[in-house]
Amino acid sequence: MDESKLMDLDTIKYLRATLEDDINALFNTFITETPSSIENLARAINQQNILNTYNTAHLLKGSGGNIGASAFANACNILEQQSENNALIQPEIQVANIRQLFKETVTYMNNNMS
Amino acid sequence: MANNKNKPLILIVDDDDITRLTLRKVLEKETDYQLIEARNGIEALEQFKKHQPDMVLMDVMMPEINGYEACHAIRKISDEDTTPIMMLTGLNDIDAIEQAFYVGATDFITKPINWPILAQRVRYAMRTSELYVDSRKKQLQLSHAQHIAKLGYFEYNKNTHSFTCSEELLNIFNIDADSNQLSFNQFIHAIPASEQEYFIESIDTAISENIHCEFTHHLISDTNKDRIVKLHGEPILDENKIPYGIAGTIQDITERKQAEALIQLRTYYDTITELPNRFYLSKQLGKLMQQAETNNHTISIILFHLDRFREINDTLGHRIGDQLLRIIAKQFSHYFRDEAIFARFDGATFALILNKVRSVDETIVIAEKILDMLAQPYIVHEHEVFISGSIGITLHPDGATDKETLLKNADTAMSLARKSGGNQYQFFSSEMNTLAEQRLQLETDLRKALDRNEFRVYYQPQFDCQTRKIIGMEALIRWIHPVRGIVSPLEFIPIAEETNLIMAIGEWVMKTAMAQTKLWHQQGHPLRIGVNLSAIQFTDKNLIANIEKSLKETGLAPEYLDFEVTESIAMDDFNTTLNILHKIKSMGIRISIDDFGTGHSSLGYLQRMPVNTIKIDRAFIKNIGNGDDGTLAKAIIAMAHSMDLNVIAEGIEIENHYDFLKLYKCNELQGFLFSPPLPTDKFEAFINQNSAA
Repeated sequence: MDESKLMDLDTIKYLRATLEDDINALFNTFITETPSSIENLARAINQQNILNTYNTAHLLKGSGGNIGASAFANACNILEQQSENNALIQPEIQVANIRQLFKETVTYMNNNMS
Repeated sequence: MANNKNKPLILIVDDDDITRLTLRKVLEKETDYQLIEARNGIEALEQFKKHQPDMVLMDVMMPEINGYEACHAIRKISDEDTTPIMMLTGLNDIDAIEQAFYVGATDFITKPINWPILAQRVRYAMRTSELYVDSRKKQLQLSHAQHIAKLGYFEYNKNTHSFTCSEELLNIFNIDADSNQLSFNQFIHAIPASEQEYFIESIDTAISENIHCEFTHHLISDTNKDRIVKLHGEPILDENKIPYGIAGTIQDITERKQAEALIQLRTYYDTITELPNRFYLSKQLGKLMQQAETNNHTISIILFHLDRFREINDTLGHRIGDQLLRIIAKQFSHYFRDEAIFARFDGATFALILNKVRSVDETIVIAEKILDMLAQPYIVHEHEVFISGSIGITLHPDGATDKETLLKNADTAMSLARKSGGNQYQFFSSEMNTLAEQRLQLETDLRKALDRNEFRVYYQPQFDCQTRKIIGMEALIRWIHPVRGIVSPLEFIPIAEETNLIMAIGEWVMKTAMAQTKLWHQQGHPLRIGVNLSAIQFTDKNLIANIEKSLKETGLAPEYLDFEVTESIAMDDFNTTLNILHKIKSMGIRISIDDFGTGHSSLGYLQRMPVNTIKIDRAFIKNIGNGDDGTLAKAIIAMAHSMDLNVIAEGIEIENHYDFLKLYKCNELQGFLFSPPLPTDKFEAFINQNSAA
C-alpha cells in the first residue's frame, strides 16, 4: 500500500520532529504490544464475544490512530463500529486485513526508524 | 496549585500503553510539566489522592471503572477542588462530550490526538485553571472582606423590577441565603415607613437624573429593628447610556454608629454626672459668644466650686463624693434646664452659661440662688452633708475676645471667692486679671529661683525671758527677686506649697540653716536653730531620710535643731503625721507648734503630739498693754506649763510686752523689740556683740 494511505504522514512527521530518536521507542512499543491485542481480537471474534471484540478494536484503533498508523486504525474502527451495533460482517476477513495492515505498518516503521 | 513548589504535575490516564507513552513523550518534549501515569480509573483515583496533580488527561473507555466514573469520583473528593480534567474522546462523539461535562470534566481532546496542538491545549487549560483559581480566591477574599465589612451588593432594574443581591446583603437583612432571595418589595418593606418615601425618591432621582446617591437609613424587622445601614448607589446604563436601574452597596454601620455615639458621649459628657463636660462647654461657648456678638446681647459665665469638697472625699470617701456630685448635677440641671448650658467644668466645679442676659442683676439673682440651693443640707447615702459654693462670674462681651480667656476670667473670679472664705460670688475684673498674671509670673520665677541662688536664709534671735540672753534663732527664708527685690514669704510660700516646690525649698533652708548653725557653734555660739516644716513636707516620703542626711552632712547635734510646725499638720491624716513627729523626736530633735492658737487643732491632738515648745502667735501679744489684758496669752502659758511644755512668745515689739511675759513666766521671746530677722553676716555680728556684752 502507498505510504501516504498506510500512514498519517503529517503525524509521523510531527512526532519525528518533536521526539527525534524517541520515536523509535514508540514504534518498538507498537510493534511489540500490538500482536497480542490482535490475537485477543481474533479470539473474541472466534468466541463471538462481541464486548471483547468492541473493546479490543477500540484499543487498537486508538493506539494505531495516535501513532499515525491510519490505515490500521481505520480497519479497527470499522470493526469497532460493527461490534458496537452488533452487526459484524465477515469479521475473520477483517482480522486478516488488520494483520496485513499491521505487517505493512511494521515494515514502514522498521524502514523509518533512525 | 497543588504542586506549585516545583513544576505543575499532570496525571495521564489511559489503558493503552502506546497512547500513554506517546502522551508522555510529546508532553515531555513540548512542555515543562511533571508527568505521572495511571492505566485505569482505579489507579487514577489513587494517584489523584496521593499526588493532587494540577491537571488530569483521561481516556473515556477503560476497564474496571471508565473515565466518566473516575472523573465523577475525583470531583466528589472535594467541592473546592478545581483541578482541570481533560477527557480524551472519540471525534464527533457528541454524547461522550456531553457526558464528560456532566460528570465534571473541564474540557475534551478528540482522538486520534492532534499532537501538534496537544501541548497548546494543555497549557491553555492550565492557564485557565490558574486564572480560575486566582479569580475564585479573590472572590472568596472579596466575599470575606464584604462579610467583615458587612457590605452587601445589589442591583435593581426599574423596568423589570428585578432585584438581585449578594449573600452578604441577605445576611444584613437577616434572610437565610439558602432558602430565600430578597425581593425589591422585601427590600423596601425592611425600611421604616417614615423613611420609605425618601428612599424610593432618592433611588428614582438617581436613576432618572443619572446621578450617584448616598444616604443612611434604618432597617426594621423582628431582628433588625435597631440596625443602621448606609447605601451608596450608581445608575446602571443601557447601550444607549440611558439609566434603567441602580447598582449599589449597603453597609451595616450600626456598630460604627454606636461607637461614634459612645465616643461622642465620652468626649463631651462627664461619666460621673452625665452632664456635658468642659470640652462640650468650650465648644458651645464659642458659638454662644459669636451669637452674642452678632445679635448684640450678653452672656454670663458662672463657675461654681463646691467648698470643702475635698474634705468630703477624704473623710466620707469618693463614693459619697461622687454621689454628691450626681445629686447636685441632677438638681441644678433640672432647675437650670431652660438656661443655655449647665456642665461639670472640672473636679468639684460646675459651669452655668446664661444666654441673653438682660442685666447684671439677673446674673446676681442666679448666683444667689446657687448659694441658697447649696446651703441646703444634702442627704448622701444616709450622710447629711453640708456644703457651700464659691462662685466666679464673668460677662461677655466684656473685654475677653476668646472663650479660653473668658473661662480663665471666670476661674480667676472663682479663685478669689474661694480665697475670700467661700460661700460667696465674685465678678471678674481686669485688676483681678492683672493679679492672676502676676501670680503666674511669680510661679514661673519661683521655679527658677533655687537654681539661680535667689533665696537667702535670715535669722531672728530668740531670748531667754528671764536673763534676756540669746539662746537661739528662727531661720526665715527670703527671696531676693532680680526685678522685684525682696518678695514676702506670705506671697510666695502659698505658691510654693501649691506647686510642691516647697519640698525642694524647705530642704534647702533646712540644710543651709543647719550648716550655718554648726559654723556658729564652732565659733563658740552654741545656739539652737528653729526651722519651719510645711504641712506639705509631711507628705514627702523622703523627709526623715533627708533630715538624717542633713544632720550627717552638717555635723549639727540634733538637740540644737527645732522643727517648727503649724497646727494644720494635724488636720490631714493625723496618725501618719504623728508617726513622723515621733521619728523626728526619737532622733533627738526638738519640735515646736508655731502660730499656736490660730489653727483648728484640739487640745486632744496637742496632748498626743511629741511637742517640746508652743510658740504663741503674735496675734495674742500685739495688743497687750493697749487695751488687751493678755488673758488669752496668760491662759496659753499656764496651759503649756501644765503640760510641761516650753513657751516662746512671738511678736514682742515693746517693753510692755516683755514686762508682761516676764511676769507670767513665759520661757522665751522673739520679736522686733530685740531684733528683726537678719541676714547671715549681720546676725553673726549681732551674736558676737551680744555675747561680748
